Amino acid sequence: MATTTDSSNTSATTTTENATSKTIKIQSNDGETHEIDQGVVEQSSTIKTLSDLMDLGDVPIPLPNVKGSILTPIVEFCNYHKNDPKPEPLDDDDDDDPNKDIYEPKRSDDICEWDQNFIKRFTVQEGTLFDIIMATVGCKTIANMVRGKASSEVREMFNISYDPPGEGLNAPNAIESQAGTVPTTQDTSATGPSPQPDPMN
Amino acid sequence: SLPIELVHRILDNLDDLTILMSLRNVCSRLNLIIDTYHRYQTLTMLNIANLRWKSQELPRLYNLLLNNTILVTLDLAYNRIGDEDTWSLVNTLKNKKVLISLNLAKNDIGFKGAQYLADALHENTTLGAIVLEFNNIGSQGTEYLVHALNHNRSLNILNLRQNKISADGVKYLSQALQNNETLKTLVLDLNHIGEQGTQYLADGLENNKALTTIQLGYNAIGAEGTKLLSNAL
Repeated sequence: MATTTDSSNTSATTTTENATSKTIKIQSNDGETHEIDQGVVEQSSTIKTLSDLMDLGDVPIPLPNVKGSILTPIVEFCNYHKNDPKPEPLDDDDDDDPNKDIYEPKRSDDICEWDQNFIKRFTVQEGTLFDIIMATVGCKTIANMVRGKASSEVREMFNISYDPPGEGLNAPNAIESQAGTVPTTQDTSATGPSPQPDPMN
Repeated sequence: SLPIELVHRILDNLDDLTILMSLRNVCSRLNLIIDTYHRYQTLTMLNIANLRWKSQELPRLYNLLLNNTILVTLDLAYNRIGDEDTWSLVNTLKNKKVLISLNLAKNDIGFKGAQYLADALHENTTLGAIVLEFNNIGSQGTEYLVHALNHNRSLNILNLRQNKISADGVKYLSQALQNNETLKTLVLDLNHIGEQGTQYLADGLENNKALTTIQLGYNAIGAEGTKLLSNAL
């Protein structure tokens, strides 16, 4: 198992002594217990709140929403990332930088190789991918997976069945299938509106 | 399935275009969730200019437009869409009740593209502004557009800057101006109107009460043309 506190002390020299000395126990809903240190606790607002609220000593914090099979990789993930710099607070004020393009998509291709391999261990089919998102470590990766995909591809990727909201216009292939169709009118001398077939009908 | 909060968190990581293009109409539940997403609720303007769309990506864009219920302004300038793709694009605009402003500047649109666009304008009742500058619609394309103008009652702004429009094109345009009561701004700089074209334009303006702004820079109008125009105004 990857969650040990001893290996972390050497790598965590930048954090304060206090942050590495204290450890907390957490328990999955099927009884698996992990010991995590303060650096890991800081990454989870849920655990941090709970541990701040109560001084539990040796009693593990119960996490009724998390299975042991998912908790282990989460702890692994948090151990790997516990020395990451804190994310900068979101800047909602757009007018401080006139050069900033407000339409510029958020950068999210900056997922390190470790994370990419990490997320590959979970799949939609087994349901484990959703479990790991439930633990809120995979949102960025999901975002990356859908970027540039058509909605039909997204459906396929996540095993979503299409449920038309009742309008024929929304049929998934209504426009996609005819997009390759090139208008055939060659009559360039026509002066009136061209007699294109209306693909909406 | 995922709780709404988590889907919102995924959306936080995505740009507007991806939300509209890849995640709308995946399923009705996702649509409902996106409807509640704060960035989507205020999304009325999409700038996807200069992205150099590849042909295989365009169907996703059409899908976006076809199902658009929120975008009011769409900037597609500098995308080299071309005539054939313009056809597919404008078909998504027919009968749409949302989009008000469309920027298609510099998209390699020729007279055929203008023809398709004109067809769409026939049936569209919301578009108020169309920017077609730096295309290649020419006098013939202008003729098609004019046919649409005769029927359209929503278009306020038409920008045809640098479109190789000669006196002939202006002739058609001025005919339309005589009947049109909605067009307020017409941009015609950098064409080849010349003195003859100015004469046509002056004739058209005589009976037009709606047009308030007209731009004619760089058109070799000459002193005589200027005189004709000022007489008409």
